[in-house]
Amino acid sequence: MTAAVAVALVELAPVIEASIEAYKILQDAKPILDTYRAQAAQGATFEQIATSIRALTVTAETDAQAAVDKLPAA
Amino acid sequence: VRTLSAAILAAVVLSGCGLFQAYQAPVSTKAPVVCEAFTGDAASVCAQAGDILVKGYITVAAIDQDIKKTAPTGIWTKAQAQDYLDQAKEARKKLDAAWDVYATGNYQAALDQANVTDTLITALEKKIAADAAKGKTQ
Repeated sequence: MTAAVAVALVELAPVIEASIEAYKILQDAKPILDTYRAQAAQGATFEQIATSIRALTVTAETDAQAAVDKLPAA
Repeated sequence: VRTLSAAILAAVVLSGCGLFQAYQAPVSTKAPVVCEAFTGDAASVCAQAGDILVKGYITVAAIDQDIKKTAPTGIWTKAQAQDYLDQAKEARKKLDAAWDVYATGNYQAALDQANVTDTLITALEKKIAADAAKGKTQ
């Protein structure tokens, strides 16, 4: 590996890492999207789906807060 | 170096594009009942506002789930994790406000608010991702 390639890789590393992390978050959203698309395909109305998604957001927020609360104070 | 960079960027862009396509399709194939009273552009704005709102909620839920998963790994301080969560909560409140506008029948305003909120959510998502990546390399 030449020095130029090594430098390029080092410079690119944070960009790639961040892209991978962003992709992981979007990947977390995909199963949720798929679940609701499947419900729609089975006849659920937009209103039923929207109500369910809003409830899911509240649950996810509560769970995330519980995880943060468990962290030790600095 | 150029070939390597191009290959890496292409992989990142292509993986993003595939997911972006998954996001473009509406969540529900059925338009909201309230949109059935409209035709043409008005019906499109109504349906689009509803779809962007539910996609916003889904993305916020995904961010919350990511915070829940990432927090125990210890890459963030409690204050950092709480800050991200507070921003996600703020985004959810903005979605709630846009939802209220939607419920009053002002679909264009709801669409505008939802689009602005969606931009904020995307920015938050990228910030969390970048900081998580930085935390792993430190």
